[in-house]
Amino acid sequence: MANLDILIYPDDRLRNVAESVTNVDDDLRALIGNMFETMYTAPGIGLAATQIDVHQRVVVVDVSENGDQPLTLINPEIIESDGRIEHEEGCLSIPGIYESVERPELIKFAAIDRDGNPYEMEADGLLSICIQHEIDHLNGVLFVDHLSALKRRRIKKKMLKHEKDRPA
Amino acid sequence: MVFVLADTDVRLLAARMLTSVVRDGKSLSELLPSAQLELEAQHAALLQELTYGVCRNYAKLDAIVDQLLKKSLRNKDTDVRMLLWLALYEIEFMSKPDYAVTSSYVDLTKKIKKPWAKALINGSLRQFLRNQESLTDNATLKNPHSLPEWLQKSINKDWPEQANSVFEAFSARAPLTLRANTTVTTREKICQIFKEADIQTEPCEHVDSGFRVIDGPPVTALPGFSEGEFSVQDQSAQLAAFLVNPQPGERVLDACAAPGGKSCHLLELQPSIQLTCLDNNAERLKRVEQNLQRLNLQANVVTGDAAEPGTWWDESPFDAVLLDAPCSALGALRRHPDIRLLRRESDIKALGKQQIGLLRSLWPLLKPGGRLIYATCSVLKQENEKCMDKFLAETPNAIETPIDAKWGTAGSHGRQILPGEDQADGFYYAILHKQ
Repeated sequence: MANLDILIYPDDRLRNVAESVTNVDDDLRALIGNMFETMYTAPGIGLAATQIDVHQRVVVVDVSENGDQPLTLINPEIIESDGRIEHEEGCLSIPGIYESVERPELIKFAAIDRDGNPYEMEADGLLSICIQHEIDHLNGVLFVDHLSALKRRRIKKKMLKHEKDRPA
Repeated sequence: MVFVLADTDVRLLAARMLTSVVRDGKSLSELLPSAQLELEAQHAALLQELTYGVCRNYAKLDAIVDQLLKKSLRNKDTDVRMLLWLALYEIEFMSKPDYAVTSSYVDLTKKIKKPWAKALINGSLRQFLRNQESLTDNATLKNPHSLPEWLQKSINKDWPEQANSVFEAFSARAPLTLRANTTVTTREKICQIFKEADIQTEPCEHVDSGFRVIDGPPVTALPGFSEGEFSVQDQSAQLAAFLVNPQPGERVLDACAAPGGKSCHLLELQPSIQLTCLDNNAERLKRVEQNLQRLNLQANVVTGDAAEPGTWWDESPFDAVLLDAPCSALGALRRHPDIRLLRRESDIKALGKQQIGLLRSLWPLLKPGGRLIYATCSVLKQENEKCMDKFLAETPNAIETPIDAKWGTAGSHGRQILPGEDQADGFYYAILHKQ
């Protein structure tokens, strides 16, 4: 397995809309393994393939305290949502920025697991927020897009300023 | 997405920590430091405010909960009770917006895997908000100082005239008191450096080494801390080394040394003494070694039980023994508000047995002409002068040397400082000479 490079905002490739997965095979499972490793190393609680410059609809999440509840979502779709919840979010592609985002509180989603089996599941709390955040990535949307234009501009400026300090 | 710690997560941590205190008898000083290490400063501060604040006001919070619940919660649902205490504390004492607090604690019932408690917490908090004033007033009336009943009785019995000021001191916030390391600097020099950094100080009344920081950053961020120019120590505890009054070359035993504040002070006063730092807790002895190292001092650090000198003593007698005995620590209650929840009336009797046992086992270690300084941070006579009464009555070659001092009050034996006197912790000292 390998630890992969994560794209950093504002990178145009984070704006790509990912393609649906047509075939769940060993290559895809290898990608999923690398995504989990990259996410746990970061450390993060969710990662979308878009963030490692792979534009397929694949998401990995694990919101458990001990990092022992990995969940793979291939071609995820939210089919129902309800309520509102506000929570501070942060993103591996936007390091150091944390802002409160309002989203639906409860979701029901459909996806395919790493063995190619379709499943449906309900989520609330942090898991719900995290899945919505990652599905956004597959559509080229970042959590800062949910903020006011003013806040977004300030974050973009800050990120561009730090870009110079980061090792290439 | 990355995990961002929210106030709700800190609340959960606080609820778990308080559950360990109430149900398992763990102390906050065991639990808090390691948890705070992993938190950002603002969340570490919130965790401390929540846990300390709830302990300081537990009896009042519990009296409110009693009025809200139709039947009391079972022991295994202590965590649910802690959620209620915390929510009430935030609303009543921290003036947090009640809607946000309620919804956050209602949500936490899921995190502690007790979804059945959702309605209970929601209902109780809403009922509280409807009658906040009368419920709080009733609770205050019932227990104005938020102290366990046995403790109020004991203080009233031992200190009938001073009881009220003792109760008030129990709830007051303690000052940050430091001890200048006089081997490398003076109190005046440090206070001057602090002043230049805009940190206000005031000197302690009864010890030349001590001063209080009136308003400043966390202690480790004060200028000169890592260089070992000062240590944290309450004024009362700083008296111990002066009372031992170590002379050049003497053999001195600090019998319950951890975490080492008094040991280091003894060496600062007289670096040429041969000091043995004894404690039965190897884990806590590491702190003694860290403190000695930070202050660049030398001592013989020994893991052993002071009650069984046969297992560690090399048979060469001591000129002086400092017995800072295990005690109820009630004199330092304002610094350790969880003592309110942890201490039981039956502990006092058990501690009394341990205290007299230590006196008996350490007495033979003194040279004839040697001295033993008995200290506790308790305010109960049973742990202090009554313990001395008993030991002196049964030990013909032990003679008390009365302490002539401006601090504290003389009792039948020794001197008692009550908490809050000159802003100091409650403490007891007595000096015994061996004939």
